Amino acid sequence: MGRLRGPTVAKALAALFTGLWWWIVLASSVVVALIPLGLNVGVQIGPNGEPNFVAGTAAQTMLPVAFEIEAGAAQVTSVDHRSSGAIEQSIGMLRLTRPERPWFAIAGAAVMVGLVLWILAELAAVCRSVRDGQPFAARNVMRIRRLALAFVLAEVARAAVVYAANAYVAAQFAADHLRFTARPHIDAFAVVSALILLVLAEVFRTGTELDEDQSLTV
Amino acid sequence: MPIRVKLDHVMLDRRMSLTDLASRVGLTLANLSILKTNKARAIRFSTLEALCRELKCQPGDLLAWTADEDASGRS
Repeated sequence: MGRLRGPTVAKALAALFTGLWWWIVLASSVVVALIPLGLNVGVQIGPNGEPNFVAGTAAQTMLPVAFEIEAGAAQVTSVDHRSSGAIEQSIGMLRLTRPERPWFAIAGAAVMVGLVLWILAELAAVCRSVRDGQPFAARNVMRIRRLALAFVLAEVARAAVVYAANAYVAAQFAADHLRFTARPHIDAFAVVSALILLVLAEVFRTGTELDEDQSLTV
Repeated sequence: MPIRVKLDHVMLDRRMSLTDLASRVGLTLANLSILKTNKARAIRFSTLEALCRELKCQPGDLLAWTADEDASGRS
């Protein structure tokens, strides 16, 4: 049986997570530092809640929107004209032309960036312990449990920001043939990921106990 | 743990130091210390055999069972 190259993968992953952590910290610091210098900073939240800060004279705020389309306003037909249909609801991005920055979008994006940094730091720490040959430690069990919690919190923050943005747009904006909507939506995949992490934490807890038994066997 | 290692008593009887016993049975001083201070979770038969050989005793001379800590300890 071939030997798995675990430490090499763990080393690469630890470097990747640490690099990403520093990249996000540096990029966020640069954006924050630009505000006192008078440069415009915009917050962009993708349709699925992914946050991004942009800086520069043309930086604009973009918000996720969900909308229903007036019946018959968006007809679609297949290329061979054999079938047809109509788009009834969709999601998209609203680019604000005024330099407007809704507070909930900035606060939500900041919270999500913080959670992403937390997740990256915990992942890097777990990978470093695997790289150093000490994966089965009580602190790793706690790290993986915290990762599960962070996944749930990040999903709740993402859903809250998207819902707040959708509700803000629905209350403040109107468009022809469209009706902006806002419905809370929790991604089941994030919850399942958190449950998988909890199972992994239990595996690590058992591994830690076995490792302690092994080290205390004379 | 309800199983207690009486290594210190037997060593005292034989007037043997921990360092001397460690070198005779081929264990590190740290591992023998874990055994002597009752911190060990398990003992290999090979270790028990080496200890009995060097201390000229039976396994029962090295181990004792006490019921008082049964509920709190991990067996």
